[in-house]
Amino acid sequence: MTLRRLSHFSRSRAALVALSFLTGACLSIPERRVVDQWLYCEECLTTMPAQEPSELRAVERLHWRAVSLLSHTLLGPTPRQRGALDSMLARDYYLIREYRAMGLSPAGIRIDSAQFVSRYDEGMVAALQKRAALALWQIGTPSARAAIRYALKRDVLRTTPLRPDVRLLLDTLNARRSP
Amino acid sequence: MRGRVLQTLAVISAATLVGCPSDDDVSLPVPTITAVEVIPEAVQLGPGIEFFTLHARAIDQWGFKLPAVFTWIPTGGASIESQNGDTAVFKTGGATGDLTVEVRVGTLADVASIYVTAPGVNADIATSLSEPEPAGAMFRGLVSGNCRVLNEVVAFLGGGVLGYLDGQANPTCGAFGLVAQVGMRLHTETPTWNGGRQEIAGGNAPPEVVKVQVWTSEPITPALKAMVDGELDLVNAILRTNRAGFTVDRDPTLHESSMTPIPAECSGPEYKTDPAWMVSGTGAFPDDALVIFYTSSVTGGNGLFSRRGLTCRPNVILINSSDHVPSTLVHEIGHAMGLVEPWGLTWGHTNQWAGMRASQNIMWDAASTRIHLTLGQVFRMHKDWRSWIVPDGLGVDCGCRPYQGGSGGCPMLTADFRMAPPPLPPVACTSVSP
Repeated sequence: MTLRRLSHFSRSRAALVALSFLTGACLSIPERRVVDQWLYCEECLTTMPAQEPSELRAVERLHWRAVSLLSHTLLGPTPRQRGALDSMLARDYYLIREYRAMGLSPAGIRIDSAQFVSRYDEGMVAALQKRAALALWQIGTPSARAAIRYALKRDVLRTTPLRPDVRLLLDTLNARRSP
Repeated sequence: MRGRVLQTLAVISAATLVGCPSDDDVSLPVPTITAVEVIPEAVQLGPGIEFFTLHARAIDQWGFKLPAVFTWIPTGGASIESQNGDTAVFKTGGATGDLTVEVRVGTLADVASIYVTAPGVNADIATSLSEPEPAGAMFRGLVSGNCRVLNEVVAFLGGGVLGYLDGQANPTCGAFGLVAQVGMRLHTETPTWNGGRQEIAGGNAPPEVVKVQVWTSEPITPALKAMVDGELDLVNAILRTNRAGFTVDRDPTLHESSMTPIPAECSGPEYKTDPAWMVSGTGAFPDDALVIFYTSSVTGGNGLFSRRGLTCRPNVILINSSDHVPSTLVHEIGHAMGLVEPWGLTWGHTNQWAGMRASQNIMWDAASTRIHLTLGQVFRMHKDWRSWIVPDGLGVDCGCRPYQGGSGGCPMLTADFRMAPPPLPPVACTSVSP
């Protein structure tokens, strides 16, 4: 009876240890916001004249724990990021369409939603990838640098390759030592 | 022992499958108008006041304001005098007592209650409204005895919010007048009461149109023209929805520039560390137009990352043509119009300030659906000396603290329609000098 209890205790403890480890490796919601703040910031200059914007420094402080999310972002937007981008563009498109429907624009009412989305999408995805890459390089752990190398290797096999400026940045970062 | 190891591995495997809190909470919502609001929701008119103005807005499921076509239905003898977008002017028709005005968008509706005071009743209101003060205001709130409890007072000029009066800021009952006014560049700053109309002379005029020049470092193609058109329309949709009092010229000429990638007057290490930023007219561009420059790169910091946009002089805006979002332009126009404080701390960005409607505010520094301006922000755009549209020497100093009005007596940056008072943490900052 006592042995069975001990065994049960050990199993519970093992589960707890495993879950604690995994949870510890994850970002909390406020920490995820810290990463988002860097990935999406417009001017990124809240503590100028520092050399790097504070948003990037904040991600750097998360260190290895931010690597997983940044690595996924480097390969392309995660479903959450994809959803955020799409919903932002959908709302902006709606505002423009409604404004034109009121007859207030000389551009007329014609605006194609697919064209509108594609006009911004490529740049926004490339920006996410570049910022993820920069943060990974800044963090500089072996896994962070491996993520950059992996993205470069994977690019060769892609049907849709990385945008040239993203590829160039990855090559540059891969060749440089992390700070 | 082996069993225990296997158990542990099984638990880890299961936990791995569960994984981190998922990054897949996908939502692809389509904005839908879910409510219509009329502002003010109640109007009390003194004897002899024949006209009143109402303002409507359509709200979506997240509380965003959306453009809409409004239908106004007055009752009780009132009639519609004129309508301009989301604003309509009504005439009481000489009746006293209760009237209503319904505003509709599709099947959604809201109703404003209008009470027209008979002669001799509530004389304090009549006295206040007939005083020769810059009292072009409409208000909502309670009237009790001789003490008006004013929650919200706004007046309109050129389609924009002219002033804001907060009963809390004016606790002495009986005092009436605009504690804050917004002057437009081409309008008088001391508006006079207009023959009983509850608005400023010329009140329902269209917004001021700000002259714009668009420059690009890329060849002008139909796709580029379509992008610029869309972004200027988005700017005007947002300015109009927020009653900002100005819009931008919708038919500017596009100039192809040889000043690539960044015009000389916007280059330099970090422009915003230099208060000379506030000085306009450094060469390449005209002073009398808002210059929007689409360029292939707006680098910053260590040179490895690129910004989406930058306002490098009060009237010169850079937009990164290869990486920006539709609302980048309206955000930068916010900077050009004086939303730059606390200088050196957040540069006008509202991310850290409570009461600014978070990521909906146009000065939120991240890609999101940014469509909101507070009354406090609109006020600064028209009155603060930092704003490009405020002529030199005519601006007041709204200070650098978001929860204070500076020596110019401006409303708090958070002053807004129907907003619960936010917490007011102290903000230490140093304002840039004119």
